[in-house]
Amino acid sequence: MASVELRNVWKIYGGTVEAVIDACWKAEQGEFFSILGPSGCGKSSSLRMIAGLEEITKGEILFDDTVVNHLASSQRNVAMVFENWALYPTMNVYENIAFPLRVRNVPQAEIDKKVRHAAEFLQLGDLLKTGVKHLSGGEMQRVSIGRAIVRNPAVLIMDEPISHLDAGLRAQMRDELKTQVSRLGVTTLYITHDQVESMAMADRIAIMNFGRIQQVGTPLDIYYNPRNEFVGGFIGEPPMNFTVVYLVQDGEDYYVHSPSIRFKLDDQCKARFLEYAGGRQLKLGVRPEDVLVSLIPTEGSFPLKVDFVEPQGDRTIITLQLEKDEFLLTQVLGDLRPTIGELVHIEFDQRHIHFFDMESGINVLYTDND
Amino acid sequence: MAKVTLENVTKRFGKVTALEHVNITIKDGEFFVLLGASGAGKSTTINVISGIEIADDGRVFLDEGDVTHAFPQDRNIATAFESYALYPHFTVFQNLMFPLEAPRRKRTYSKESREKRVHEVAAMLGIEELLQRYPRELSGGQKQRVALGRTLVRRPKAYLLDEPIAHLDAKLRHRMRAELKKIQREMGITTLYATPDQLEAMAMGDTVAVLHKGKIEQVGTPDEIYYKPNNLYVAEFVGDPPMNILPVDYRGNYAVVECDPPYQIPIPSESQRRLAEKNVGHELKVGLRPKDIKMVPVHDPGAHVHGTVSLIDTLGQTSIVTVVFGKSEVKAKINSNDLPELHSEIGLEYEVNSFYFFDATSGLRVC
Repeated sequence: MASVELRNVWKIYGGTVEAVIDACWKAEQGEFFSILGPSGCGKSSSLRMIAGLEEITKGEILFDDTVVNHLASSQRNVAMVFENWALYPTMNVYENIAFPLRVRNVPQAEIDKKVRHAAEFLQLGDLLKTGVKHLSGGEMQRVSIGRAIVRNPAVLIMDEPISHLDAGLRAQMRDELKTQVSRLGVTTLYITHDQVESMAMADRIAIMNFGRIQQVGTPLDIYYNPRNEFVGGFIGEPPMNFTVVYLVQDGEDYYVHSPSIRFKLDDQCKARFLEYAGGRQLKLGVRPEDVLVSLIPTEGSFPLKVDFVEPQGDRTIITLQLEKDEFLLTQVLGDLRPTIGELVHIEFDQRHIHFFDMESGINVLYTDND
Repeated sequence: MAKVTLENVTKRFGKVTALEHVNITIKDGEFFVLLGASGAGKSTTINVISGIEIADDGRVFLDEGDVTHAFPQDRNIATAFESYALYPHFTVFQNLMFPLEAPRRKRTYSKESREKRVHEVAAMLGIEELLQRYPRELSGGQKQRVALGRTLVRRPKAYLLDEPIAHLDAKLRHRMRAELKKIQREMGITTLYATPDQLEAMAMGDTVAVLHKGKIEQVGTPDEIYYKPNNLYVAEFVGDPPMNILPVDYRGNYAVVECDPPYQIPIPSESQRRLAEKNVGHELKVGLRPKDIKMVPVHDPGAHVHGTVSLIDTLGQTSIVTVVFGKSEVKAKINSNDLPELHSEIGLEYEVNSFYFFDATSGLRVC
């Protein structure tokens, strides 16, 4: 297995369309690294350049600190797992796993050893003679992984491998995939548009949008410390709330204002603003779980009207009305059930609120943990 | 507006029984959710009420009138199909107008009031800009909103909505739930809403019916379905991640969890008393929601079992941690700030007062 590094990598199609812009990141040996972003963000172009299926316009790609730009796809020793598993329907499990070795003219004795080893590792030992059309989804997934790893690849690339499955099965396959891959210990690049998958599976995530890397970090770092508005809004379900506010200084105190919001920054949050010199109009970002809802006024709270209440079992999602077509989602644990139209009293958990620049979208209080 | 009643309805397709002795009463003006996995019989239930299918046995009532064998057009019910069923050669506007221009309704609505209604509904669903487009020029989510709009332009006795927002993206779907519920409350029209999504069912339903293989497993409020599941099926279907189910050998003040290797859990005296009243045997299944499991150090005296952390799924503020012991596992939902190390040994402490007890044979909840 190998580390994978992108140094100032660009992909420009037809001289004008910038699909990947100055990408810089490194996946360490054995790391489960996810490239996450909406469709058209450049994640597939990135993976195609890494696999050698697409020319690199500018920059360098390195495997284990060696530049591989000039190497053909077949020389890079990259294995891929696709969305629909892409198994050969007429072959049994054994032949599917053996296929990459057969096309490389590996001697039969060695093929047999490697296939059996991979099959045993993936708990497919009893299924070697079974036709793939008789397999369950989870078994097909394992065969697909088996075929990918049988030739000891330097890097395993998975391109949206489970996004076509329905929700229940997807969660199950996610767990299984993660377990298998972590046992293999092979460097894995996992491409997906689904933030839940990236958060649940990856050691680290690179988030892309419009061809640019937005942030690279561990799931929790990205969740609690988003570098910009896009990252804040893309990660988390239900999504982060955004609303335009003004920061007003009154003597020693800082207040956050909008037509429907008014609260005072606590000392800790205020301290983070001491060196801030940007505009006073900002976009406030707050996650639904960081909105504290009370049925009675509390010190420092402000009132909002309940628009919708959704019981979700162990938690409740309450939608509050800000302005006419603007809403604030909240998620509270337990079974708080205010009535629609009622006024409730709101505070924010100020450890986890964010302020984004109106134009650049940059988190003005961002702290780089690297 | 009307009450909708299904009385002992059975529907077969060849050898397959799609619905078996289904009894449902949807109160006048109620938002009633039919929750079930694909193939449970949700669409068949809708088709039997709308008149597209005729029940083999049992009866269907609108208020007190028996409509079991009435033609669909005589029932005054509006249905939104999961497959959209838009007219490809009509624009969005014409598709939305269509139900209002049926010969029998044309007299009820003037041309102005028809157009006004179409614009109202289009605004509600955020599809005003699409009115002059054809279905082929729409995305899946847009088509679905048009299909829903074509249902909502009418004011029938009941709306039947078959997964009407399944194809919208997450954010829009969330907003649509609130809008739909608001529209329904304002219009007061009896609504049957079918979905495979348990969170959506709990979010929207005044009442939820859980359908499984053509049979009703439970009917209740969202809280009843979640906190008082009738049986194992409902307990495992509702809740995310699903409830942990532990087969046990019940011995009075304790139970041996029959897994590999087995271990004991204490049974609170209140539960013992109720189990004694029900006169249960030894074979039970204990249900425990992932939120009711705490992580403690391995040798903590409060630990009921210890095992190895095999998987951590971070969702954000909370994470789902899978702990294996021998050949068995449980899932716990914990705060992401308190995450254990992957592959580390930890103890689990169960919230014993939150145990659910099920009969191992029938699957029914005992207490």
